[in-house]
Amino acid sequence: MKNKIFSAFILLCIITVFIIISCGFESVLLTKTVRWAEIVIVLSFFAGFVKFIGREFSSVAVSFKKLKESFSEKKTTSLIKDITADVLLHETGKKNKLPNMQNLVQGSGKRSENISKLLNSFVIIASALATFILGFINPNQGRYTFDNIVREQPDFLAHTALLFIESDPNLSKFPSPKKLALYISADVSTDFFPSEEMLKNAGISLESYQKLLSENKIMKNPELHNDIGTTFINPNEMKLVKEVKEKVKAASVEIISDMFPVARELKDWFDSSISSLKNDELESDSEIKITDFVFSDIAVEGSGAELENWLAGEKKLLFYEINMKLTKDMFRYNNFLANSRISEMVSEKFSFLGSSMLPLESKKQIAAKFLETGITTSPEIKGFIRWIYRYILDPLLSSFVALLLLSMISTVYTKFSIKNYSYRIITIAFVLTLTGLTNQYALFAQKHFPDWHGPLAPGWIMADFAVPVFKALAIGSSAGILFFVAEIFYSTFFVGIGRKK
Amino acid sequence: MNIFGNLGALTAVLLTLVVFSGFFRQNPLYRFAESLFIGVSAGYFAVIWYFSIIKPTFQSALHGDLLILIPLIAGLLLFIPSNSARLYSRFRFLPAAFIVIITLAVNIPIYFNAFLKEMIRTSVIPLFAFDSNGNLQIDVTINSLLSILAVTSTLMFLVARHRRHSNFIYRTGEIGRFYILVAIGSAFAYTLLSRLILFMGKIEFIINAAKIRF
Amino acid sequence: MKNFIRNVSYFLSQIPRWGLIIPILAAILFRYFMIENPQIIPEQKAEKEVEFHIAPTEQDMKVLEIINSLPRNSKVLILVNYGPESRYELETAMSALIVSLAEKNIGIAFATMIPNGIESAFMAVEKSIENGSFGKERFVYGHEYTHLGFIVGGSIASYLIANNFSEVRERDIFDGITDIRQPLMKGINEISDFSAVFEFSSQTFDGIPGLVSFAATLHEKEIPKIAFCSSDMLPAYIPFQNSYYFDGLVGGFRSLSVFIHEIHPSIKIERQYSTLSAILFYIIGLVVFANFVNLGKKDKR
Repeated sequence: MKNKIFSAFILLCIITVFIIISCGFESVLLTKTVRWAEIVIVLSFFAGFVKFIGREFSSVAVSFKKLKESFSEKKTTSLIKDITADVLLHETGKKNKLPNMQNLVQGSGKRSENISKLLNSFVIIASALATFILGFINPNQGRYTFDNIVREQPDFLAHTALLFIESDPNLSKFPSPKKLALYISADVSTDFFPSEEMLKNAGISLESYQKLLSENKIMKNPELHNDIGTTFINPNEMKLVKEVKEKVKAASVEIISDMFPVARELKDWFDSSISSLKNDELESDSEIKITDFVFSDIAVEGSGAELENWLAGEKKLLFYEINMKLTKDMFRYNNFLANSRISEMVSEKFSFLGSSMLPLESKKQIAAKFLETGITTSPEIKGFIRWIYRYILDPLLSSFVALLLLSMISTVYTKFSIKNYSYRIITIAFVLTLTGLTNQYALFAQKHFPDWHGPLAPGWIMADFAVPVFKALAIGSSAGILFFVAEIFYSTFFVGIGRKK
Repeated sequence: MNIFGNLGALTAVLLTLVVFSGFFRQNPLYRFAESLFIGVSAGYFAVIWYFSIIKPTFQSALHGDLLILIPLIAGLLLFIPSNSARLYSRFRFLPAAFIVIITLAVNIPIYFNAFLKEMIRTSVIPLFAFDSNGNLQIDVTINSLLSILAVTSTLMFLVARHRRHSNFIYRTGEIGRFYILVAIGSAFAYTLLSRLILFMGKIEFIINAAKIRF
Repeated sequence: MKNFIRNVSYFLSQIPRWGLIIPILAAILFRYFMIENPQIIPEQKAEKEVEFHIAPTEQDMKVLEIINSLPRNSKVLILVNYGPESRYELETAMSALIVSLAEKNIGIAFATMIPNGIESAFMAVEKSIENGSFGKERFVYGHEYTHLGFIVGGSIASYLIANNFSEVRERDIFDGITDIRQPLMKGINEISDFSAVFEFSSQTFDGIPGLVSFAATLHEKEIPKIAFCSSDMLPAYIPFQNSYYFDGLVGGFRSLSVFIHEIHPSIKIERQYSTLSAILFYIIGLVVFANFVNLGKKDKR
């Protein structure tokens, strides 16, 4: 009876959700339920991962134990063997072969099997945990974030390079510092590509910029050179440029690494401040009170007021622009960074972070620039785990699957025979399909029967033999499932009714 | 290219070659690569699951969406060991039942719509095809006849396997068997093609890496 | 004579398994060193020109028509459901599509239902950018393309994307939760705001192709749907070719090559295809040869 009630309950749930989905009702409740199902599914995968690691650990323990036993057995059995041999020798005067003693001694084959199992399990555990931990910790985060920023927000790198140029006593006298900044940025990172605005500010066209990079020159004295696009730099200055390039990269990565936690906390502070607003505070002009941003017990005075002012401005702008009900998700973090002084305020307060080789003002400016751009890039999924995927997982998976080619070719060579009826049909279909896929057959078909879609046209076997078969199998299997479900339903709820026990 | 890039490419090439050594004979390096693959893929998937779904869920909960704690707690029940004899261990079936209910409920309409209704609809095609001038198109007609015969005979094959039937159904089923064998051969050819392209890509990858290195 | 054939057959049947791969390797190396990089062998005078003879079918033309008719500055959704096992087959096609969409300033939102799909999308984007004929100077994340991340559950993911896009849209792969409103996603509130949905796939979810379950849960929303699948997945996708679930299917390497050739001839897929044809002829020859070898063997009764 309990089973019937439970089955009925499950069936009722399935039918309810089925009806809601089939009829296309888009209810919030259903959306939430499906979203929850997603979360539970992922947690089930995670539980599977944890259990898998646990199972491997127990496998290691078992293999280790067996191995230990095998070594101790070997010693004991050798001793027994020696004693028994001595006894026999004493009795018979001859050395006899001892019957069935090999069974007691664990063969080297079984021992090596245990060693192999132990090592396999150990490698699995070590690699799984190492991948997970490294992906979680994301070592060298600053460098990955730097690479992402260079790709997505190149003005950060150019701005940093310009600050270094301006702070250098010799290079600050260079006539085209912005061009030099672009040149150094391109040298620091191969992912650097200046935007149109940056090129315009530097007074250089895209072609000249590309020529500058390929010819490795910078303009020094335009009077000496007729060709405006040609540029050059002194060997002495080149040495300074190389030094600046090293400093730019090191300082950028260092500032990013140090400021990254600040940037994350700043975003969290913004999110929690916005989410704590009440609806009437959004709608009306009432004063909003927001606490200052605090990181590592250091409060950025005035940051709360800055956010309040920005909110007030945004409310007015959104109200006049959209003239509809304001909601919390209309207030965007990127807008706040771009239209307020928050990044300068935060970088001012945390100017002790970052490289000491930079002057303080430059550090503040670079940090502020980073705060404006940094949070749009990914810390974790674009980080070290990407290296693991591209250089370990991808080659391994693709190589293992490519290895299947060998077994398939072996099958083709050994099994595809015309002697047996089934294999004959399969072989002929296989050969004809492969022939139809070749370039040469396509040329032949085009020459001799260009408008023919019937037998022996390229792709005919798949389209007119295989596809109908797959359709029929789909119809058959789904009809079969339907009947199977009906049978279970009948046997659960109706079998046994009316019969006396 | 920085040292990380170089080290990565070198690792990739070495691992590819180690796996390809399995072509010749199973060796300790190959087995190491197998174990490494199992471990790394498990770890990678765990990282992606965590950062894609679990961490954002926790963050949503911290930002005030308390309802999201329900699936989180329900999911944590799945961590209870299966051989646990305690009272609460029965609750581990609840999240599993929830997943089954939702998955079935979402899949059933899709499955029957896609595999039953639509397959029947697209299988029913005109027996004779005519062009815009009213002339019979022989090639398309032959294709239609073959397709209809394929569908019906394959269905008969599935029915004929279940129980002994009349000679007619059995013989039609044999025609269906012929079609199924052709479909198997054709599908095998496409699968081989897929592996071949992958193999070609891997060889080129090794050659390109060797070129860059040397 | 029979004895001779039997001895020869026995000798040939002892060819090691890996020896069967050697001609394939030779063909690949030949193509690489003679056709792709002829300057490696200095005696080679000119690049060997290879022609592509496979004509596009009606289905291929339909797909090209849909892509060419996509409005400028619109946005498309690409579901990336393949991993390293089909990368060499599908990545070229995806990067060709990205290049052609970028030329029309069409924004791309990626999403994936498998963990491997995350990096597959980025590697295809990087391949597109490296392409010499890529029309855009910069292709920036958040502005020109974005990634909505990994959506779990197969059919559940399809349901969420099709019916409750707001749940998915707010999620950026890189920040996990809401509040990164990227410029690309402005104006996209539900799935019908996209001008097309593409799927690149090398697997099914619970036996159902991803785009099929997506289309089945879409209900009355009209949006062009095109599936690209690898050769081994063709048997799963091709039954749906003329159904209302897909508006177009590019399945198998043959169709993918035609697509690449038509949409982006500079990729020169015909070179790879010619080598493939040669290897296919080798395999056909192997089958014939194997049967000849078997003739000499006695049937085991």
